Amino acid sequence: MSSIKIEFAVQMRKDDEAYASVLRTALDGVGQVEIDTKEGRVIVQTQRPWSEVHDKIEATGRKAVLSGFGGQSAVALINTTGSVVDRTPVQGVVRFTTITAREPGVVVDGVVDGLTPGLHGFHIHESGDVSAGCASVGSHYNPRQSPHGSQTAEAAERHAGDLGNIRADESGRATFRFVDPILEVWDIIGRAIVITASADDLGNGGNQQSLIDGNSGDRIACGIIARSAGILENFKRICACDGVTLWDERNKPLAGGDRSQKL
Amino acid sequence: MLRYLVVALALCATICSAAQARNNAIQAIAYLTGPVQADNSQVKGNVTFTQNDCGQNVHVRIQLEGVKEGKHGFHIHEKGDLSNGCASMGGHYNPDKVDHGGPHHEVRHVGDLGNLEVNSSGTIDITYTDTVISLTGKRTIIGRGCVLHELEDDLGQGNHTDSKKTGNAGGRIACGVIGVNYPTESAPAPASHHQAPLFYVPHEEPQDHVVYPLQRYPPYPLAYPYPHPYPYPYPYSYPLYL
Repeated sequence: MSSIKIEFAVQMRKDDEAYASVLRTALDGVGQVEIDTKEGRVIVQTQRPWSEVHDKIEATGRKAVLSGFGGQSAVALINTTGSVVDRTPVQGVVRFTTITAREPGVVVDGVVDGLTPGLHGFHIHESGDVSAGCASVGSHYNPRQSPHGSQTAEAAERHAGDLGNIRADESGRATFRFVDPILEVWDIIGRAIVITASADDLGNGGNQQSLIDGNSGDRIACGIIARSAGILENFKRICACDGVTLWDERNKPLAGGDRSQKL
Repeated sequence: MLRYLVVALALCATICSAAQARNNAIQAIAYLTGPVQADNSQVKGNVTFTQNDCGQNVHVRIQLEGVKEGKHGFHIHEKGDLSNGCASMGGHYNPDKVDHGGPHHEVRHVGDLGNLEVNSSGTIDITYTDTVISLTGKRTIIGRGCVLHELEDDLGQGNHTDSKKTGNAGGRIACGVIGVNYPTESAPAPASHHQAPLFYVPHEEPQDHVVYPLQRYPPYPLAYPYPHPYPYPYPYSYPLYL
């Protein structure tokens, strides 16, 4: 089974059992739910995408912040240049985690907004260098020197970084969750994830380029895969640098003038 | 005698296999950016890390522009996670849980890289060599965050309460994730599934004149002080190593 634990910090009063039961009803059918009302912590063991669980919690009218994801986990923030404080039409978060310590493979779970509707190629590239935007991250991550292929192919028939396509709906949002049996979280940390303008033909295009990148076109967005916190590793509620609380964080810029006042 | 040497070399080779397979320097890069300021300036630039061989010192080249004149604290943070702003990058990378210090102090966080002194031009291009950080092994900095602070890092010697934790360096003006930066052509050649043995050891029975490669022990599950009476048998399901 590929269900994993996701930890959310949810804004609730101490020992607010009434809200806890509201939340249990809201998350009914998602998976196994543990609610710690003392710490304001909700741990969900689920096979659903994290964005869906997050939306369900926020639909109860409280703010929720994902604070831990699976075991060894990594996260990539996606935008047009891959840099940190960029506000561009394409925005997304993709998370990666191991399933269990002994099971190989990675759960890839993400949501990307601002795409054109339809399929877009989705690949891991070998470098995490975004100094020249998405152009400088190198080619597909390919430790076995194999041809480009589909994400369901054998390890020798695909690049390790070939994750196929993601599909954006009419609103331009792509939500996806799948398990890749070949990648390892420790192996992809520090590399980059790239979304392309057109669909990946999975190596079946019949021309030379198809065996290199699946004719997937220009790179429209990318992000570096960075280390992130697993379950119960992240107890922070207030940023030590300037006292902005977890709940107000999303309304503040990541860095800069608005962040430097000490409370 | 020669045999010991060969075995010792083989050991070193196993530990450093990642570096040796590529047979060239390991590089990592962080592209730091800050928000665009009112006067249209923006902190941005590259920080590159180069380690010529594993276990060796790391050369850090810092090229930044748009920074205010003065000293700015510069640290590696534990996570590279930007999903909830710089707050989700965690604290300074500090696997030993020790006090904050300066880059040349005996006691320091692994991620304490001290201060950058920026002149009136607002640009900086310096190279600095650090003996503590590494791009390989268990304590790799790849995938972690690189942060430039607003104020001077007091290197743990100030009187402020945060001095021993963060150096009281104030807010974060720019940050970036440290990514791998291997040259495109140098992906390691496909190794056969079974690695060729690096040295010959007669394997009928253990040889006491051979230095066997160290096996990695699993982390000991019980924290000090150990329970008394001592739990026996050893609390692992798999057999003991040498």
